[in-house]
This record gives sequence, structure tokens and C-alpha cells, in this order.
Amino acid sequence: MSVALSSIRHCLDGAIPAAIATCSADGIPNVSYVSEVHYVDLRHVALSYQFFNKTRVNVLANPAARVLVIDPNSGTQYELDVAYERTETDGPIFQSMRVKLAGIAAHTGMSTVFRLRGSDVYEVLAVRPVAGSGPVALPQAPLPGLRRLSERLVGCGDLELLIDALLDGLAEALSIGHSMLFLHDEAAGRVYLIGSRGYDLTGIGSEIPLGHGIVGIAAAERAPIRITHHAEEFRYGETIRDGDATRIPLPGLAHPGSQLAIPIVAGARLLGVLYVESTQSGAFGYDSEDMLVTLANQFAASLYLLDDEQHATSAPAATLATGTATIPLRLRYFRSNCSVFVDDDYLIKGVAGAILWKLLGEFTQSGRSQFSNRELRLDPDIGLPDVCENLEARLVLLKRRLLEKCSDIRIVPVARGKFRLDVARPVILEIAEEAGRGRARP
Amino acid sequence: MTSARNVIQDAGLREFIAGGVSILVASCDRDRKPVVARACGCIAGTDGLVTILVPGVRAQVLLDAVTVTGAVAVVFSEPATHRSIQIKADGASVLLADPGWDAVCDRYRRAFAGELERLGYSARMARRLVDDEAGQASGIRFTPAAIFDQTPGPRAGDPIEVAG
Repeated sequence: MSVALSSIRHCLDGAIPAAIATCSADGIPNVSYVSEVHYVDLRHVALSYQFFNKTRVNVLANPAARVLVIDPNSGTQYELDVAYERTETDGPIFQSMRVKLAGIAAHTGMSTVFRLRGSDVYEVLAVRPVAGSGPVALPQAPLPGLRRLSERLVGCGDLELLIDALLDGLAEALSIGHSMLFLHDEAAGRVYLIGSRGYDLTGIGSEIPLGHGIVGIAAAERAPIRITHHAEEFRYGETIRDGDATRIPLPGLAHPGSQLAIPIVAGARLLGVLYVESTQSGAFGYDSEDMLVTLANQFAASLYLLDDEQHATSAPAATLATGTATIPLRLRYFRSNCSVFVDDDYLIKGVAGAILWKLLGEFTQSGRSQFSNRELRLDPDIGLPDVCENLEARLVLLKRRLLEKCSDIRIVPVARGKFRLDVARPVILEIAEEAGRGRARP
Repeated sequence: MTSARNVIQDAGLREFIAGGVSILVASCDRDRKPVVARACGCIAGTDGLVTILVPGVRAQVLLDAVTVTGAVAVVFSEPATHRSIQIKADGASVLLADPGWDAVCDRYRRAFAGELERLGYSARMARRLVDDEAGQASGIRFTPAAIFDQTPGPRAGDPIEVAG
């Protein structure tokens, strides 16, 4: 009896270490534990290479090997006939394994010992259950929940609805209660948080550079990154105290047991990252990864279809009572990074900061309050980096930051590609002197 | 050969390999294709002979390979500490079931399943991993030719030697 490799992926997650048997050129066997067996595709697995050992000497001379894995739920054993193909020391497979190994190492108390030197890729020739070792019981992916969430995304006519449908749907249809959605700022080489669920702080506007942490690695490698056990060095939820006044704290669980970051891509282009986490170990397996990749692909296609001239389908916000309060709001603008501070509190920076400054300037000079997406996109002062830059995403970010940090200013969609700026208090606009603001970044 | 025999006559080491540790046995056939199976007990004699008990049904391919080539590699690993050693031998022989082995297997199952349960694995999974029908175990007997430290880390692969 043979089974498909894809149907035993849950046995490869390191809950119980796998073993590999090899044989030297002169016929001497060797058997060794393997920290991590990584599912690559229907015909390949990659094994962690941490030390130069007998296994490695043997497979370089004689590529035939046998891997023994155990179903962590049933105890059923499976044997894989494999043949060594190559070793990778960088790229998506390596990075994905490196991060996952950190979780396994922490879980097994081997953080100071385990370090990935390479990913040994093997072709899988056959997969069999070991006779008499237990039932071949395979887990079922929660397809009904996936379908429900997928249908929910289909009905979304604008970016805000789409973001909320995805994050609410993860909690309601798939019971994933802690999630963050990041969009890509191509010009800055970062992703910024546009929505989250399951935390005390939303973290809207917080940023992660590409390559940093599990989200940044998923973004840089365009590959899902999954950790099945707690790994201290990859947790979020801690403010980096470096004196940068424009840094918004990232939300995150203090002690995540499982983490999964899925890049959102359209063709070769990175649009963002979906990140989920759980307090439980082993909460996200390969099936969860498949599900969220499928959702991320649908989200990417939906995002691509929404142009900036979309219908304003979000529920309109109540109009602010304009100019009734007498104490003015003092807003300061730093040209070097387009950051805006309300009194002494950081509000927003970058493209969204430039947009706000432009709107407030028009509002204070001429009293104008109606604007269009099109004029913003053409405005040289705002300087959208290129034609691909998603203006709508910046408006959503700005709108949400205002809701959290400055409720006296509001952006309200009024028609297709048009919105209104509501300002409830008199505003004083100042261009700040840059000297002494060394940590504000462009 | 003498060195390995000395090592296996060390009481502490005999106790380790005959305790509740994870035991995996590998061999290879004439075509140098490796095979591997999980063992269900170990008898470490004071005469330097080691007998590994394997479930007959699950390990039939392994037993066939040992019968043909006599080459074995056995890794013993303590799940809680990762302390591991590997014993290699040639000239191993396959022995038919012995009535005295049932008690050895029972003791091993209880000890190993207890180890796994202490680490948080389910009792059901732990028992299934080492369960076998009574009276079905076969033996693989050999005199160790070499013993290696296989505890993860920079010393993994170093031969283990004892004085005397």
C-alpha cells in the first residue's frame, strides 16, 4: 500500500522527530534523528542539515535513504524511500526551514545547539505505512470554513470592506482569532499594518522592514513561513525602543505557540503579508498553510481588481460638527519623512502623511473639503512612487490612523473616487524645523 | 572491536540502552539500500553481546536485510535529554522468538511510553508506537564493533571510549 506524500504532511511537522537511515559506499548502515522534515512539493522533502555527520557523508556517496516518520495523533509510522538530490543554503525553502527550526529548537531545549547549515532536498520515491503500526487516518482540511470566507470576500466592493471581511472571516469561519494584515510599501522596502484582530492595540500603521522577523522573511522570500512551537526571537508584540518618535508599536501575542506568515502576491509583485498566530503549539499545519495561501491569492486578485476610482460602498461616517470647538489643533509636518504630529503625538508619515498635509493645506487656505483620488494621484507634492502604488490603501491607512489618534479630523467617502475632509476644530499648521530630529526616517 | 566491547561492559551504558530510551535499528540490503525499524526492547549482556528486540511484523524487511548482510546500526536516544549513542556492528544474526523476551518487551513498553507521556505525548500515541503482539518479537544479536556519541551538538559522531 502506498500513500500520497501530501496526505501525511502533518507527520512532518516535528512533533515527534523523524529518523533517516543511510548506507555508506562500502555497505555500512547509519541511522540518525532528523530535527526537521520539510514538505517541498508532491515529490520532494527537505531535511535539515545542521552538522556535518555520517548521514551527510553517506548520501553524498550513496543517495538512497529511508526516512521514518510518525503520525503525532495516531502513532502510525510511515516509511519514505528517498534519494538525495541537492543542498540549498538560501532561498524560500532554506529560510522557511530556518525559521521553523528555531521553534523546534526552542521547544526541545536545543536553541543553542540547532543552527541550519543547509536544506537537503530529497526526491520521494515511495511512501508506505509501516505494516501493523496503526490506522491510516488522515486529517480533513476545514473546507466548509474556507468556502464561507471565500464567498465573503467575493462580495466586497472596496478595500476597507475587503480588509475587514478577511480578518473577521478568519475569526468567524476558521476560528483564527489573532491576525494582522500588512500591505507593501514598495518604495520604502517595508510592509505596514492596515488591519488586525485579537489584540488590545490595533497597531495600524506600524511597519516591518522586508527580511525582518517571520513577516519580513515571508515578504522578502515570497514564501509562507510557519513556526509550530514558541520561538522567542520571532515573536512580535514588543515595542522597539530606539527613540524613533514615528514608530507605532506592533501588536502580537506575548507567548505565541504557533505563527504563520503568508505573502500576498500578484504575479511577481508583493502586495502584502497575512500573519496569524495562536497561543497553542501546532495550531497551524500544512493544511492551514494551504488554506491561507488560497485565501491570500483570492485577496490579491480582489485587491488588484479594485481600482482607485471604486465605488464608495463603505457605510458613510457621521458628519463631524465642523469648527464648533474653539481650542485649535496644532499639526506639525516634517518634510524629510512627510510625518505629521498632532500636538506632540505622532500621527502618520510617508505617502499618507503627505496626503493629509495636502488636504489640510487646501482646507485651511480655501476652505475646500471635497477631494478626488485622481487629483491626489496626479499631485507632484504627494509623490506617489509609481503607477503601481495603491493610493486607496494609503487613504484607508490615513482614515484608520485618524480614527484612532485624531478624531477631530475625518475622511469620509462620498462618491466613486471622491471623499470629504471633515475637521471639527480650528487647525494650526506648522512646518517643523528638522534640526535635532535625528531619528525621524524618510 | 576491543574498545567497543569494553564500552558495552560499562554498567551505566548497559543500563542506558536497556532503559526506556527510543531505539531505532537500521541495516541495508545487498544493493546498499538502507532499511530502518523501531525496536521494542534491548538486552545488554555482561558478556558484551547486545540483543535488540524488534516487532516481527513491522520489522520483517529489516530482519531480511540483517539476515543477508549482517550489518546493523542502532541509535539509542533519551527523549527528555537528547542524549544519544549509536552502536555499529557487522556479523549480526537474527534469532527466533524466545519466551523470555515478552517480559523484556513489556518492561520496555512501560518505561518508554512513560517517558513520552511525561513529555506531553498522548498515552494512546505512545503505546501504539511500541505496541506489538506478545510473542511476536524477533531478536537481532551482535557484538558491538564501534560506539559513537550521537547527542546533537559539535561532538556528535565522536567515538566513545572507556579505559580498560
